[in-house]
Amino acid sequence: MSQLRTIGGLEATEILSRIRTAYDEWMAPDCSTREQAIHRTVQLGHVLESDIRFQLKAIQDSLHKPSAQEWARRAELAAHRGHDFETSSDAAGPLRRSLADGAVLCLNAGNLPMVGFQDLVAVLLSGHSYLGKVSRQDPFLLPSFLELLSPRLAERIHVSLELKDLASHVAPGGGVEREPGSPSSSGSPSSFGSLTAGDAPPRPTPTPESQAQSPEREKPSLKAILFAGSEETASEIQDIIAEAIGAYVRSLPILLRTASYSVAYLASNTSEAVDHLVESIFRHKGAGCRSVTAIISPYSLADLGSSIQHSYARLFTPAQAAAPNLTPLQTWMFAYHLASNHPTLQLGDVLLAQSPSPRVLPGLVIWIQGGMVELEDLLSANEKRIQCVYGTGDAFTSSGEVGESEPPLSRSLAEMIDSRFPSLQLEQLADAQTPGLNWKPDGTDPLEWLMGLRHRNRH
Amino acid sequence: MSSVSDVHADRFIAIEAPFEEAVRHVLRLHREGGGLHAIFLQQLRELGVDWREENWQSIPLVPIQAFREQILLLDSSKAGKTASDLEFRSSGTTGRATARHFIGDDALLRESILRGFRHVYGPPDRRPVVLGFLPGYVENPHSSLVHMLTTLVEEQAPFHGVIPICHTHEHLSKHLEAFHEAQRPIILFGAAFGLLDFLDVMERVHVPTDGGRQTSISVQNPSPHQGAFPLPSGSIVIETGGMKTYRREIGKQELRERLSGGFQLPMESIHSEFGMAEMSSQAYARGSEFLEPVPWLRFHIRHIENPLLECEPGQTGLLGFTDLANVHSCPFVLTEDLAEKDEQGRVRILGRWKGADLRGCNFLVERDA
Repeated sequence: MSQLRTIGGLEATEILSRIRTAYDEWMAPDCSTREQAIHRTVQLGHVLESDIRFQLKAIQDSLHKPSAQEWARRAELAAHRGHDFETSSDAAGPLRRSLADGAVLCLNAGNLPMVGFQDLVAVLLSGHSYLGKVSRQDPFLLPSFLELLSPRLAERIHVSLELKDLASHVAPGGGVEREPGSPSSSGSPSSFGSLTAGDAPPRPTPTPESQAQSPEREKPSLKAILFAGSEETASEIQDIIAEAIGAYVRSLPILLRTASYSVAYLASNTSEAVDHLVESIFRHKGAGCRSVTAIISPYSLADLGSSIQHSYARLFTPAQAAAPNLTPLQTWMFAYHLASNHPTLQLGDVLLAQSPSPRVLPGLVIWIQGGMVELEDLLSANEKRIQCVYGTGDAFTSSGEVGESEPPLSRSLAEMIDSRFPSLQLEQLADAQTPGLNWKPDGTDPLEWLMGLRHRNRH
Repeated sequence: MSSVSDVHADRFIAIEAPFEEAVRHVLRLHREGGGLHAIFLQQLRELGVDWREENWQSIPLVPIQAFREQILLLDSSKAGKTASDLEFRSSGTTGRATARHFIGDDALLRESILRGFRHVYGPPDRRPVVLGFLPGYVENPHSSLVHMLTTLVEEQAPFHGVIPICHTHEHLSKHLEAFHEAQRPIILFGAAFGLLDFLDVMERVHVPTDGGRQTSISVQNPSPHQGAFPLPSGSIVIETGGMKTYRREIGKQELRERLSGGFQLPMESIHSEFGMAEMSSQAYARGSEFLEPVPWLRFHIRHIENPLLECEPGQTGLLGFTDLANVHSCPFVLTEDLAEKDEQGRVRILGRWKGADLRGCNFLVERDA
């Protein structure tokens, strides 16, 4: 019975397995389409090849973690529970039921390679179809991977650079519409071709499997929208979506992510901790809300400056380590910190500066020498904008001690975050750039949110 | 060689003094005194940034966080100031984040406050009496607003008697009723949230009866007035301060309309004052949202992504100021407020800058749609 609320009869764990298999295939050393996608992405000039490879490997690792399997299993259980409350007829059959779950539109920010991958997986595991607006900064990688996805999943995925192209894959006005069609006009993998004329990846030939599952196509209704932005820009983005897809989207549920940076509590001065810190700051040129922009540490930047420099030189390639010109904003702040005799460090295009009451600004990583009190102050003032708080391993102990050679903490980091900032996530600094598939952007598990949506829609 | 002790108020805050000349003098004083701003300018030059000293609009501004992070006092002999010396502090949520503005010359500050107010509203013997209303401020002994109103109240005492600043609704109500009885116009100068609270309370204690006429149900504070609290004709309300402590945030226009209706004054009589702990001078808006600085204060609007660049009129950016009465601390400051400037150099404050998109993951509508 449970297959009635899955995609084409697939359970969530099976969907995850198929995604993982396809991803492994795509990551195989001899996969030329992946290499081609990487090459073309690098040519766009927004991201470094080393960062792309790092990110693709991090995603692969996340798919193989037990936590990913557990994530899918929870979705499966939720689907079963939802079925228990189901009162409607089962006569519609698997395909029709899954279409009734509708589609979810995801806007990919493009600031990191494949940054919307978690949303893609969550949408599919929740039984929805995926409409993805890919970014002009990252238009090749996701479609390249999707080519290898099994047709039963791929036919539920439509990606495009243009929002208006996606409109044709949902029923107008939010209803469910039967779409006269053949497999070739189904909008299945062929829709990847809408990226750019002439640049489109090859269109897979419909398989007997997909044809058997899709003798007649329906357009799902659009049920929800996921994107990252700010409270200020959300309505502007909604306007753009409404113009492209229809005014009814204004009433759809939105999962908006507004957090924009992360904070590290560095209680350790070991080379391993410093390496993790450097990775968390400089990977992806500091882009992404999981990147660290503020550091609180009992140690001063002057204490750790040379360790940070060595770690940076060791971990990052010459291309990344090159020192481009500072932006005017950075120059302005640099001059202020120098005039104030604050410890500063310029590495690549990032400026680290320690001061008692710093302001978080673009291109500036702030360093506050202090302990839990200073961390609490920072989190209190910036909670809504902070994605994660990272600690080094010892900071997670509840003993209140961070290690023999390190200053003691009055209480554990975990205890403080739990009691004062329950909406913030506390993670290991080492995981900053390699999150699990089940991590919660802005404190919300997208899969759980989508499953809830699915049940809300039904009842 | 000039020194800070030689500074005379007229050199900096005279109504007619050429602004550019005074700016050059202040820059020279800071160079000679080793002030933070001068060192900051030197560092900028070493980083390859240049500007024209003769154009005050191009002078780089120090981030306002400097007031939170260090003692800004040009005369090093005063660095060891005692607690009894005049000092303003911003209202921060934690002591750590509080800005501290040490006043190097009390007399200059007093002149700046009084000359500025006279410039806008006339001398104390020829303007309505100023009635201050600052509920909650009594707990902040370092409030620049309390100091300013106290200075004004002291100045007008020979002409209007001593009318202390009101801190409670009852106190204010009593004074307003007396002025109403005498039909004597006043300048009601108060914190915006306090004035709104006052009107809310006054409206709650009046219930409509008898076909719309309103009758007080407050035994202690019976009021003969319809509406909230009509002020005598010719009165002015000057609101100041943010709205964060009010029960809800409201826009400036709505605020002005509410005050206009509540005190039954024309919109032109609803004015605003803008000052901050880090400033020694003020700006006033009379009948509009645009604030006009006193002559020795000028506003800047700087690009958010390039604080070294001045915005064009109408563009939104970060508010900066050159306040020559700040000569002893730091006269060239960039705040964390958003604002826009008109062609006359007046500014409209648009609220606190909540931060840029940093290095985060915003969907890039402008660049990507």
